[in-house]
Amino acid sequence: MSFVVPAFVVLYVVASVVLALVMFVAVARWVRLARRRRTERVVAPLRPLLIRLAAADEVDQEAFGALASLPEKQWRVIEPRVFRLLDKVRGLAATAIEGLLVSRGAVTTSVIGARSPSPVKRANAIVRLAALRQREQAGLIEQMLRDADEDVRRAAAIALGKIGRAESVRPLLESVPARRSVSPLVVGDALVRIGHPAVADLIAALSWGCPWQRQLAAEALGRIGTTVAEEALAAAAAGDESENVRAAAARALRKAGTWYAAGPLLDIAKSDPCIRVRCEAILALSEHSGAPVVEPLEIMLGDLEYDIASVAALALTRMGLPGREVLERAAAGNDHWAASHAMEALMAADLDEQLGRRALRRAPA
Amino acid sequence: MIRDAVLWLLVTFDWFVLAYFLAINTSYLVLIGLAIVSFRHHMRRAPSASLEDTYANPLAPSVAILMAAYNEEAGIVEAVRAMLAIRYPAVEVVVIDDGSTDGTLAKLEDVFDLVAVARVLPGRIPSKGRVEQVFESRVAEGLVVVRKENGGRADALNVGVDIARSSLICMVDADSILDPDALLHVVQPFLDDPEKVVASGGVVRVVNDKTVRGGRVVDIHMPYTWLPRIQVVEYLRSFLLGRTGWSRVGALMIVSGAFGLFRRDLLVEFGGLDVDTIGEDAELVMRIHHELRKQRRPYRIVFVSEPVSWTEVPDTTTVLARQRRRWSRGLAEVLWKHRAMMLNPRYGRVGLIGMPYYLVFELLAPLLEVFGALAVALGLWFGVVNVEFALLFAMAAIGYAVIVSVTALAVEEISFHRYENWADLRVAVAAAFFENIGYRQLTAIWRLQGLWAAVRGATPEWGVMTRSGFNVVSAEVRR
Amino acid sequence: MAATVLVADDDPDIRDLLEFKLTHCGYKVFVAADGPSALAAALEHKPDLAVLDIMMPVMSGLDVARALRENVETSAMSILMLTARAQENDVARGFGAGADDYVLKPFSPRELISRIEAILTRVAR
Repeated sequence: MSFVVPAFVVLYVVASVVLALVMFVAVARWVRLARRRRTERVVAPLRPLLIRLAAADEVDQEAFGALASLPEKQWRVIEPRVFRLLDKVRGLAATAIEGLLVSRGAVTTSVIGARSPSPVKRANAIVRLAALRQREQAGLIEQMLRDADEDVRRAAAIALGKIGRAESVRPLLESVPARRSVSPLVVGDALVRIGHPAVADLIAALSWGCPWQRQLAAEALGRIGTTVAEEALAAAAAGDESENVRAAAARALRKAGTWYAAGPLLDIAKSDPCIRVRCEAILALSEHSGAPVVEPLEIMLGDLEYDIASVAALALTRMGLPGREVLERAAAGNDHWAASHAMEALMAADLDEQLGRRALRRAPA
Repeated sequence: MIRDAVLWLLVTFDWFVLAYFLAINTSYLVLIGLAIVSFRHHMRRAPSASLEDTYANPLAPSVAILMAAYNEEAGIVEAVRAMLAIRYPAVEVVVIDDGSTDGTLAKLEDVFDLVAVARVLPGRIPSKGRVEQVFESRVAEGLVVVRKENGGRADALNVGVDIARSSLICMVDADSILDPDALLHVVQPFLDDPEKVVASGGVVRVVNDKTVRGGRVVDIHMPYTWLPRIQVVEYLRSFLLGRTGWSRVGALMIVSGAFGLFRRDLLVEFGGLDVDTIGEDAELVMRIHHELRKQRRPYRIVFVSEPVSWTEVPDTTTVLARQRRRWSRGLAEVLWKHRAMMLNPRYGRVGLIGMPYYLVFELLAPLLEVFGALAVALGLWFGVVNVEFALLFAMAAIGYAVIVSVTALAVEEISFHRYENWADLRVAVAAAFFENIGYRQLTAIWRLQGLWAAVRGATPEWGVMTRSGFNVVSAEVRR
Repeated sequence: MAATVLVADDDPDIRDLLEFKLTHCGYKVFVAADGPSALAAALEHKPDLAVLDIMMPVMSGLDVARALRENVETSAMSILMLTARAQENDVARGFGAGADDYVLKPFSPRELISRIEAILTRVAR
């Protein structure tokens, strides 16, 4: 038997590869630890200045001056910490830190960074523009909802939520079904953050083409909790073709509804083909309609569908004395199924009240 | 004449084994390469994707953490504390006491001030062990304790899935410790792609001889004895990098039972975990692949590589042997049960790449490991191969494997670098050698025994096997 | 005598910021980085007011608040919750656990001081 490559050569190669890898690990570790030590050395004396700047009621000129005139090399080390602190405060503290960052040219570098070929730099630039609350740059960030890189797009959506401009609502919603899309849950969060300025566009979006868009619009309106949208939400809850949208709209009516919605909600609770939608309608009903819905809920307590019975019981605990009376009657009644659901709800409600947990109990998801 | 034929067979087999080892180690390298690509993406993303944004997101799905406990009185309180300390906005912790005969329930009642509550069970997933009582805690909001008759880990988790009210189910082992940010990391795929992601798995890391304070691992270092040390390297190579690679391929077939996240509606639809399988976690993931591919529903199962879950590994050969026999047997069963997917193009990459790979390079590897070395030794004895061949064989089987293990260390170093002391580094490099010289051959024997047990198909003792497998291992691992 | 305040937050930035600010405003300040040490500090020093972060390691601010409310010695202590979760339910949960006030992160240090002053004046009256 003969070999093209003698075995000892292979042995030699294997040994040197292993050795090289071990060396690589050691060097990588050494570099990392050294770099970390250096960062700490720079940061340690500067951090108290930063805290002083954030804590002062009017700009602490001494701290500001010291930080603003740091040599570039040290500044680059501490800049991420400055942004991190900025993320945690509002008001005067934020203004002071923003002032410092602006004086060090952070806006300009971020705008340049947003055009960088590297997706990491683009995403970072967007995060920074949002932290600096650069409303003037919102247009630029909106364009980046269509960036080629998915992380950049997500960062843009989050940033637009933080900046909170009403004009961003449409581009945000449009980014959901786009070919280069943004996760609906991230967009939803941004819409909620924009809050009341978003309401008009969100109501309009309840009749847009893509179910996710309608669902998010409903979801966001519910979290913002504006009763202006009640009529549109009630219509969506009753008539939208997608059950996800109907469920979201019904849920939104918990906060965005008034007594007006009780009628449509009751119909939905009784007859929607989707159980999830019915559950949401029942829970929304319990929020703002009194005695008239107690009776239908009592019937649903005996519904053979577990979710309906369970949610009806939960809803009744939130309806004051009339609800409680129904539950107590059911708990003592002959219908074993309804009785056990009533019992569960009563015990849970008592426990919550005892412990001050205020009826936050979860309905089946 | 016959002698010649046998010797010819021996030589051929020797060459075959050599090629096999080259192939298996190359496949590890390929998986590591794929993992590097994923890590690069992850490292880039880290600075701009803040966990705080996920934490504050009102649309983040609710999660129920399920923990099955059988005679866990020693560690149950600490484990539940850790779960309650998890940073996540909407979390429900369900502990299922699977008919423990020790003070597990008493400990929980004592510390968490449990009160019995009425609870109607939906009963959507059938369970063997009857549910006796449901408790809630007066001190820890969101904690539910279920006391049921003994039915095994899978059965206990099924009851948990049934009773939980969140949209995602997170299954954890009672003896693993989660990082406080664990859920925020592992839920991320569900936030990024809510339509398709049906399951995600977290990586399990080794931390023996650890100090846990308030449910959090406070000092991370290499274990003090060699058996767990070797497993640190093994877990890095095979779980962290291997599964990250498979996730990249789109054929992740095993989500560790120690930390996996699943959509609850799907679990209910598929009837929960299989109570008659040893590797119920792996079986579940395979079933998800099987069903969803068959129904042509688009889906994704994602592996999250952040270090989020810590577990203690066996530090005695007896316990390790039992664990490996069980794993091997479990894998054999799962592959057999889902053999319809094997090489079937309908099942995409899982059927065409994942299944054959697991069969040839996981399940059957110990066979080649043991008999391959034997055959080469025989070949030397009969003089059909020379010393040079033996050396070459050793390089392909062991030298190459050492390269793979050290590469895994290098990747860990540039990515997560969790074991940070210089002393840890020396130990890790040594462990990378011992993993391939001695340890692997040892585990191969146990895996072979597990495989043999599966082939014999000792069905009669099934129920008992599952149960004792669960409790004995987890009870002994703790010590 | 200066009023005493306990600041419990796992984020060192926020801890240091509040400690600096409160000390500057003439309060005596104790700090804690997790739930159990916050509870221990509250029981030991009996501060007039505790600023509790909700998401702290080991034991949440809600649990600390509940424990303080249940203990006779500390049941009258003023509690101010600090959290990043803005949803209605979360706020309700905070008050349910016994908080006197609830401040969202990111917060304004100045506003926080005003709220602390308001609570303490109310209590003193």
